[in-house]
Amino acid sequence: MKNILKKITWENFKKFNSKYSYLVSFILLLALATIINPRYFSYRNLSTLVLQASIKGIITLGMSMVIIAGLIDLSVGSMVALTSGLGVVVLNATGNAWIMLAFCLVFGTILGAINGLLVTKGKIAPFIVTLATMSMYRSIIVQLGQGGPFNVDLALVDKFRMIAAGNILGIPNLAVIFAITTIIISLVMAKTKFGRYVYAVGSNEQAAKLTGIHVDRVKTMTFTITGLLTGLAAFLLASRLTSITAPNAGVSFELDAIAGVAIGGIAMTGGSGVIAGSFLGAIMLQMIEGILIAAKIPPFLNGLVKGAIIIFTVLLQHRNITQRKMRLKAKSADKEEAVKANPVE
Amino acid sequence: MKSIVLCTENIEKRFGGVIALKDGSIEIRPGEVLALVGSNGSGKSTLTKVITGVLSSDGGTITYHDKPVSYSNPMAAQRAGIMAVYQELSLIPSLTVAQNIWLANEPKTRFGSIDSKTMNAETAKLLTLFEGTFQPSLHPEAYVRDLPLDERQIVEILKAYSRKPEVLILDEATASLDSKQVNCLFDLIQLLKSEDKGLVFVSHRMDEIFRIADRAVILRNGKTVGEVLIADSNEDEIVHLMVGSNVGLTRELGGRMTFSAQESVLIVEDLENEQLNGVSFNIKQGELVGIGGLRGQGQSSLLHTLFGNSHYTGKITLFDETLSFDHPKEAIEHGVALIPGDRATEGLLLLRSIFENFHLPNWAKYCRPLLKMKSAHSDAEEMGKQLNLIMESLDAPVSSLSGGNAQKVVIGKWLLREPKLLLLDDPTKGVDVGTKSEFYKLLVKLQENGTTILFYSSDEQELLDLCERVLVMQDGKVKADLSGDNLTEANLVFHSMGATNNNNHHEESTHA
Repeated sequence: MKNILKKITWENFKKFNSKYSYLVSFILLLALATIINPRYFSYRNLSTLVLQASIKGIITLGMSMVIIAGLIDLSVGSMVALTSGLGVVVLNATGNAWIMLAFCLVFGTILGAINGLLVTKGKIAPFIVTLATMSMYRSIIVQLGQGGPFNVDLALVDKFRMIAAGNILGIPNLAVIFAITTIIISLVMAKTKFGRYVYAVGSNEQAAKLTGIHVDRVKTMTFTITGLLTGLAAFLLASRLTSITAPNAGVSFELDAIAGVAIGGIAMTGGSGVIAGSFLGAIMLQMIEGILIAAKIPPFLNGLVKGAIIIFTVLLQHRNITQRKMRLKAKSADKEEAVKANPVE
Repeated sequence: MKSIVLCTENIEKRFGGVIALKDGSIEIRPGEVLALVGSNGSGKSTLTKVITGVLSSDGGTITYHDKPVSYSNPMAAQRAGIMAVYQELSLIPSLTVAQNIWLANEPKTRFGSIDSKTMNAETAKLLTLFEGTFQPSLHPEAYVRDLPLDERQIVEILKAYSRKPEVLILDEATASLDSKQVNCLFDLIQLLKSEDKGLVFVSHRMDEIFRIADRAVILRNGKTVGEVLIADSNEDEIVHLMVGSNVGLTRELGGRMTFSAQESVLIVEDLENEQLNGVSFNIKQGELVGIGGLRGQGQSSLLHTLFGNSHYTGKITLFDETLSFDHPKEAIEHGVALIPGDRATEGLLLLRSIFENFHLPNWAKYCRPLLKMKSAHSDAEEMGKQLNLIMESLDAPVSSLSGGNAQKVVIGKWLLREPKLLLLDDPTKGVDVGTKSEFYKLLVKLQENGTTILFYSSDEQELLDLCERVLVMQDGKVKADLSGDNLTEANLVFHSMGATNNNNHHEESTHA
């Protein structure tokens, strides 16, 4: 009796884990962090965590759409640098943060659309397109800044930096913006026609086309929305840093976004995963960084750890998929036997 | 009586639960051309693939030079002198003609490196066998990727020939060749014959079989059912053996409906693209028209073209409107639906749930602008019941369904839209008998509700049972338009094979 009970809970857990792997890993990670530092699990600490994860997190949301559609965008880091650098110029010229925000959103959208159109109209692999634009976007802003920083005018700094540093009802602005963006993108992906089409394109492009979906439009849109979100992230980054150094701003953001998507339980091969996963994925990545610091692991090894995380999670995904396939095979073999044993008609 | 170089006895082959070959028995004799004949799914290709080691057999014996053999891969069979040329080519596009022909068999210099000079000279010699039938762009150093299909086929044939096979199997090797090239191939076959090689010729063209073969073995439903000497036989006898005695079968699901003075809803004129060579026909409101013929004669391409998924020239008139679809979306908006042939690659989102697969073409109906999931869910539930879908739950991944049930989902997603013209691309392939009969009932019901249906099937019996009219396709053309008394299995097979000089099966053109 006891054995049966045990088995049932284990089976149930496996089922739960295959659907909500991002929640399971989040809870495990939180538990680990709390064991290392018992005061970790506090409101103050957790809200700081969300705040720290928010800027990269917003980009992670876009990246997860792109990856669900079966694509990849390596240019987001350079896009952040280019957009925020020019955004600071716009802010200094106009003195109006709203105009800067509008500029960042529109400009990011355009950069994303360029990626999308090169992939769909130019028929170039997304990996190649965004690797090239990654280099181009970065190069432009470095040239414009002559290698130096873009600084927000002293007269504007104090007010401007409060956008990222401020609070609403004790909750950091950045955390609020990140949460709202997550809810909107979640709704888009789960509850709109477009969202369903993104999953369809990532799952089976040919079937999607034969169901009347304009596959190219959907792909271009995911890049464009990622551009828009990256524009928002660029605006927030400028407010947080108030000084954008062209060669450094946003460096390796693409790696963080992809790693966040991976630990968020979204399949790297496209077609499955949920936005809530990439929200937690971005936060988990931040937690891991914190744990590494607490464990006194040299920060130079951050890249090693993140790369290893991507490989490890994708290996796990493969294992899950192979297991599922084997189960399916066994199942259909059973059915065949059954059909043979009880022929219809 | 000549000796036997290779003989197969009672070869069996199963794919999962499907039996492709039950009793494949042939004898290949030196200096003789053996034709292997049979309709779709009769097991010709399976048998040749078992002989060449591409597939492993599940029973029976192969005897080669008086010794029992069984090759686990094509390389082993090739080393023993058994070569095959298939319709699906095995050339490497990024290598030259010479490099392909001598692949893994390259002449070496004294120092062990590849002797390109000899290789190219030998290739040039081989090419003279087909002299005058190809463009000057085909030469030993040309890249295969730059060659048209017929020239690639020539290279493939020469590759097999260059290895000096004892037994050469040509599986539909003439399909992409023109008549001059076929003549050269036949000269080559005669040459091999005079060298006492064993030859197997698989073709669906009657005239070619009668020109080149000495003997024919006929396969039906995976069984060897007869053997004739070509000199003593005629097309009728062979067709009769292919069809068997089950002539005169009528439609099980009520009698065939007759269509008289009704309007044509679909008029197709001179449709042409890579696979179609001028297809013309028309279909009346509520008609269930079958498309027959051997596999790969342009049937799928025709359906995809009508669905806006393929470029074409020609004219399509649907519901009195001349149309030119650029994308399936436009076809869908005009009430056309396509049920594709390959569920896994064209029909389903395997990773996604049954629910999502059902609604993929229908989401627009539930936009407010956020999707009304509840009402979508209950509609899908309803459709599942209507189709008698056996599933765990609507939210289970569609990959958890059996083949027949998965196909029901592919059909169900279109039924929610109530299409006016339904195109089906061999939908019952790999579907169990029970689901098939449910599926037939569904088609008849749709037809009764006024849906016009164009139905390609590689199963002749299915076409005979369901359709009042069948268009037989060959080489991207409608070869025959059979209806009424002309719609018999013998006629279907006869026209599929491109037979012509026949009197008993004379067919009147009922084309309107």
